[in-house]
Amino acid sequence: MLKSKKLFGKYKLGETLIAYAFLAPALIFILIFVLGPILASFSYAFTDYYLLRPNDIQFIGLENFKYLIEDKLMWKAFFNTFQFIIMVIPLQVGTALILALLVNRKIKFNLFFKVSFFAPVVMSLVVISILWMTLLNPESGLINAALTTLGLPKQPFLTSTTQVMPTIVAVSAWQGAGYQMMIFLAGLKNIPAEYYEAASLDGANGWQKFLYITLPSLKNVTVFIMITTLIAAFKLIVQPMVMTSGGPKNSSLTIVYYIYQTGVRYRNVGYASAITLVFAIIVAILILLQRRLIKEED
Amino acid sequence: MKKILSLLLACALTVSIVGCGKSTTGTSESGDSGTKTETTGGANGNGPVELKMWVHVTDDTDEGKSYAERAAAFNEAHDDIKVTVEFIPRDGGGSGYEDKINTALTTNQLPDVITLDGPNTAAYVDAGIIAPIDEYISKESRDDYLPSIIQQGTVDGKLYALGAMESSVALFYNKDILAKYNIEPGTLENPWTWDDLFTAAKTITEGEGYPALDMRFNDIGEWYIYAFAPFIWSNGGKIIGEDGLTAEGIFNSPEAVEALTFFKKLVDAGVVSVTPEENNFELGKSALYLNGPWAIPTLENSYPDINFEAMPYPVSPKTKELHVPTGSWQYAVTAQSKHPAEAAKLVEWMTNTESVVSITKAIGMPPARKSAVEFLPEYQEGARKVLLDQLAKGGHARPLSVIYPIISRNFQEAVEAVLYGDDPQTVLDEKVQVIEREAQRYKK
Repeated sequence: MLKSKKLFGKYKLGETLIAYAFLAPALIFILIFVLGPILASFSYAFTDYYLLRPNDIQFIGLENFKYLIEDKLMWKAFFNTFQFIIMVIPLQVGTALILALLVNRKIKFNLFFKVSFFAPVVMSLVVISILWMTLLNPESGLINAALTTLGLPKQPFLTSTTQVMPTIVAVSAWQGAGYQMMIFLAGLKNIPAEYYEAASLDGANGWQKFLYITLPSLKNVTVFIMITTLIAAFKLIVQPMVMTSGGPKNSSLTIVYYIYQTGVRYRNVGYASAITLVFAIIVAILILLQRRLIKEED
Repeated sequence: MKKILSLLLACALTVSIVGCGKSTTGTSESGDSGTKTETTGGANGNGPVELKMWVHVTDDTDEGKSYAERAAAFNEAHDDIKVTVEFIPRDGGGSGYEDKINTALTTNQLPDVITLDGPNTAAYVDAGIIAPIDEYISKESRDDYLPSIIQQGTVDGKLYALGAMESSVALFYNKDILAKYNIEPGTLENPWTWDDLFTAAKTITEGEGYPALDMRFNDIGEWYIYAFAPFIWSNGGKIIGEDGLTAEGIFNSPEAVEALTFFKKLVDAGVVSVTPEENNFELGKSALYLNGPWAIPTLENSYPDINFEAMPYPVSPKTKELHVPTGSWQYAVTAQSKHPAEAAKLVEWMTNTESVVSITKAIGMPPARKSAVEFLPEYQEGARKVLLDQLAKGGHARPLSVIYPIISRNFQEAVEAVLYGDDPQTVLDEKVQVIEREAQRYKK
């Protein structure tokens, strides 16, 4: 009795059943296409599942995880992914905030700017990657041509082990910032104009208004944006896959790309699942930590 | 303005509808098919044997059209067998088609005949996807294929797969630039050694002020092992042991180290660029270009001013033995097929002289059968003839191994590391550890 009370809460049995009936289609889809695969993948992590031998799956305990600890390439992929995250979050969120502040002003062609900044978000990542590859070509690319005109030395960009990640960061931030800009914009519109009027009466300048009114008011929006950007950044795969194949010298190999290669190209589904499991746990811990940190500041 | 925004969004949200595959029964039987089956019939008079074949291209491509046409001709010629072709696009990186094979394997729904890429042969045999076809292919027929085709399709002494087309890599050169510096190109009897290549490239680079050689080092991926493994073979080395699993002492042999040291020498001397400019050979900037047959149509059609020719792949000065890249898609009978004899007939048909001529005409790859050349005038002269001749003389299939994708990756990484300045011996030793560790899973 107690259990059912908790489950149904203060609603009557009939109402509850109807509610579940309405939820059912979505729940069934989530079960089959989200939860099912996740559980299957976690269970494969303890097997030697080889893609071409689906009928001969052996339980091998923690073998995959032992292997994982010694796998230098996987650690490199982890390191690269974190490198990407640390660089991309401030850059992308910062850019988004600046863009939002710019288009929030009442200026001419406002909508044109908004659409322009947002356009990369709706474009296919593959198309964007190929476009940037052309621009970034060390010999014949437009960017190096511009640098040469300015009297600066040509840069190797995607072909340098040290420059490849920052380059991908810049491209990704350029591509994704438009989306966060829209969310920031919604946040900005929600700040009551009276605050600014009151501040003006008190003699605050523009910078002070930004620092003491705009930023604190955007706090919740920023938390949301930080978390979504973090999750998206972990999933980085398309840009390195298309632009560099993970190179040069695996400098742009990311963890999701490595999981894909292990599972699909090397057909090692068991091992790929083990990496996925470890990766999922790390991501979960980081997201919990991030929420904690931001909450504590309140 | 709002309209534009919503239009953009609409574009983004539009889900492109991608078909999984299309089937066509390549039959051209007219109304009298009923009487046909009655008179000839199958073995038991129960109508024709139904075969299914999967190919890795869509039917609107030139390659797909050739396959459809040849399958239709097969049905025409065989009253007792009827083949249905399913066209499945490969998608990026070949995963679409191969995904479908993996899925069908789990559910026992493989067709009778599949196409497969050369390097997959060993893994597919190991997994029991494909069955041997030795008993169905006559000796005369077998001798007509290029040796590299047989090598590519043979695992543990048994023939599993046959291809209609080959591929290779030769050293394309700009005739005008070579003439300017009085450099004699290599020939099939007397190919350039590595030293010849180095000297020529150095002379031209110094004269032109531009790296003379383009080895497509920017094409990171399968290109590396495909195009550069012959340097090791020609030097008397190997990539992997006979079992396909032993790397120690082979992958890092002195022969392999020498080959990679030669790449380093080319890079250090500045005669080859690690990040070559797009189309530099086509634009007449570089004089020497390591590339495959697909480069020819581009050169002929889009860059008619470039006076090019091809010479055989360079050989090691130690052995002077010609080894050249090979490998392409082939046909195989699946182990799940209930009609292996008929399916093998189809495999042979799809790779017979007419089929080879048809596919070569469609996409220009070198023909897999010697008897096809007389019907292909373009392969009787010029760069294409060089490619074909060197294939017949020195074609060398990529290593057959269950862990081929791992070997390919580590080979690529090793060469890449050397190009970026690492020591060849150290890098190869390191990669041997990785391959050996991976091989451990399959050594039972």
